[in-house]
Amino acid sequence: MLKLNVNGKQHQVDVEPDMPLLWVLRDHLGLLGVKYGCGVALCGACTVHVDGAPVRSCVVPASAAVGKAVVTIEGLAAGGLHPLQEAWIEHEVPQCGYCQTGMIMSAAALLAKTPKPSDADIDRAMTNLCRCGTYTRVREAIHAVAASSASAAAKKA
Amino acid sequence: MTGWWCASRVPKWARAPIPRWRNWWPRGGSQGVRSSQDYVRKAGAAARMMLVNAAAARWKVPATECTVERGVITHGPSRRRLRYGEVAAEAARLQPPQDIPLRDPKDWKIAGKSMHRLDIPDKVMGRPVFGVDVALPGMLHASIAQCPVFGGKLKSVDASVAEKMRGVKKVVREGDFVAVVADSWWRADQALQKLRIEWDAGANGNVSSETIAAMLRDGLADPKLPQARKVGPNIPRPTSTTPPWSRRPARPG
Repeated sequence: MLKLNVNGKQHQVDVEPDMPLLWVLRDHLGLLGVKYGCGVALCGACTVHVDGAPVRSCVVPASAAVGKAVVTIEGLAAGGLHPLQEAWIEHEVPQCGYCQTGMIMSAAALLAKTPKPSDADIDRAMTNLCRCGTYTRVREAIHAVAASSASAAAKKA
Repeated sequence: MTGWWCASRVPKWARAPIPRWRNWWPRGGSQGVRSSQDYVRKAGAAARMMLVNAAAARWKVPATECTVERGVITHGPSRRRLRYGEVAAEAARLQPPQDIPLRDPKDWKIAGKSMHRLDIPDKVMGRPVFGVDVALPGMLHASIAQCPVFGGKLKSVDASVAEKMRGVKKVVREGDFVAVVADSWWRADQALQKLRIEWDAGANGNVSSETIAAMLRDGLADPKLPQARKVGPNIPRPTSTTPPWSRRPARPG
């Protein structure tokens, strides 16, 4: 029995300790926004936050997340939209959408650490693969959120 | 048809009187709207006329007194309103009009404009149901190992470890594949890795890129095919090769 904190809630799941976090989230907690892509930590479709860091949940054993805070796309913004999700809608980032929840989770972790990323910062952090080729709009949306939170911070100051 | 953006999927009946290629309904090369808009517009306009006529008949008023906006038919003088859906059954029984006037492009409301896509809000929340997300009651999952050689067969499989693994329901042995069925895909796949499989590659066991290339070269050298070998009487045709590849999609969704 593993105790996991996912999206602010405590869960007990009866699974093998080596079952990847991805499959616990999808098959046992019903969080289907987390996607299986490659299964070998390459594509990033399965990206979730563990204690704020973006991880590829397809290769993280569930037991490694015990005692840590796991956040998925479903819990990124409690009851509303994260600024990145709003920007994703505004800039019409997704095409098929399969990789996009992982993209958004990677971008959210990037902005939490680097509020005003350069193109190079974005390229370094956003290693998620998108076969529709949405990369230019991903970058646009991240810059848009960085710019609007910078101007909001300036207004407060 | 003066519906609205969210209602603008092409209904089945609009597909009938259309020139088709070999009875296919092919879409590709971003040609969909460009190649179909003429007849889709006519079908939409015809449907609008039939819906308005049906509403006018129900109200016993001239159709010319009715206007449409966002899928709602309004009879101006009496302010009565009906949604398309409310008269669709009656409209479907009317004769389609022959003379179908199309809206002047200067009055277009959607065509020619950049519209916001309706699928995006769900996609940023992870809500769309892809193939990998489909769950039916009592559904099981399988992971499959296929004979790596086309035309080969399964010779033997030792599933003694796999069969005892958690969640595994059955190991299926068929002609050229073996599959583990379990209560989740991950469990099925984990068990699949524990199978000890022996394949009988059969007649294609020695086929490789090299043998295929050699076969093609031999074919080109066949004296019965002079035109394949030479561009002109004394000019050999240049050859180039490309490896075989497939267009399989890159995701499980």
